[in-house]
Amino acid sequence: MTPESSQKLTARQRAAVVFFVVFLAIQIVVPACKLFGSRPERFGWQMYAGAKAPSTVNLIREDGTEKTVPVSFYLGNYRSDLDLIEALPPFLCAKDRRTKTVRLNFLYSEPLEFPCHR
Amino acid sequence: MSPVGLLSRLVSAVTDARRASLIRIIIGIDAVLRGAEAREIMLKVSAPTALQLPIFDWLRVPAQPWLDLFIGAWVLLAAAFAVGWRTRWAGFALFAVMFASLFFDQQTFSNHLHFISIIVLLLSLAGAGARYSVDARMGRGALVIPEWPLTLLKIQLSLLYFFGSLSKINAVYLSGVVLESNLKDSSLISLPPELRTLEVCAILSVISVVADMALAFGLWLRRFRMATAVAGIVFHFMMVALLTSNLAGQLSMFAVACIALYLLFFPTRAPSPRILAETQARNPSVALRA
Repeated sequence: MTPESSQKLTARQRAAVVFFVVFLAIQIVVPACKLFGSRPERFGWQMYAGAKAPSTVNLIREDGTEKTVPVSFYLGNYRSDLDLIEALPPFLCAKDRRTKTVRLNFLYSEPLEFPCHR
Repeated sequence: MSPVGLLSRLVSAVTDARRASLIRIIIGIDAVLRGAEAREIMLKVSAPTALQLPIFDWLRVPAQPWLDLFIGAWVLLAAAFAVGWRTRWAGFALFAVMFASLFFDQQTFSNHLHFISIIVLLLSLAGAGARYSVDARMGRGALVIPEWPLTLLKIQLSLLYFFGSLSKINAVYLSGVVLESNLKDSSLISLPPELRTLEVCAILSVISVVADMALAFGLWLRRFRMATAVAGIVFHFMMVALLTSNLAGQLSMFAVACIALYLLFFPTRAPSPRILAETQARNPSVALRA
């Protein structure tokens, strides 16, 4: 049901117009920008669109032995949209002092290796 | 009509309060359950041995006992929202609590939580405590409410499906590997091994992209509305049933939130002359036609 305005909009209605436009702009622009990042991105409605986070790690020791651990072991709540490349290698190096190199294994891309700096 | 005129007309329109009030109850219950789940997630995320991934240096998962107070407030606000007590303010506060928790840590983010926080905000703006609520019982109800927040909700649901579809148009997803890695024996419905191949998953991936896009637009078209709604219910059910069981709870709640909003796309009867007269008495700035 649509009313006919018999007068100009009230202050409340003008505020509603501003909110409507700003809200819609945010809800379109933010997800649209997220489409240009690696899948999946937060706040982009990119459910199951990919897997950015590594799934397992290889802890490579000085003596050449390797230990493979699921990444979820080190996290409280594993999500495929986590940005782990910066934070995870130093965390693992600090956690296991025998580790010389950390290899992050991804489901859909090549692994990445990070030496432990001590 | 000019865009300004269109917007003016949009924010002046009112609608029957019943649908939004029903959705309020469903989303309120959803938010209560989500609060309980959030506590478990936040406890695990903030465990001393776990890697924390704060988004901002100054914002973290609250330490105990503040965490329990935070979740306690969340659950109480969600319950107040569900029963419709001081609905608008409970809703605004609930939105603030849920939305803030998205930023505690990368691990506390969830698309479902993001979505229901937006739903709570828009239902609060609409005044969804007008019917089937404690507020209505205590004389603070109304028979009609502003329509514009509900229009935004419908658009928001369509945007969710639209960007959900667009984001899946990439080589990795369309190859089927994402679905294949998420189809597990422990799911509610387990596909037989011969159907759990990459080729079948690639076909299912394409179908899901098309389904998402169809849901984004189909609900707006009267001719296809019912079929789209039924397809949406089936689509969400299949997602819950086929994908990994440890996500079944979240996927179920997400499905309930989406499906509840389908109600908004189905028109209700025009308000009676009594309702129109009452609304005019409360809002003399607009003239209503039956």
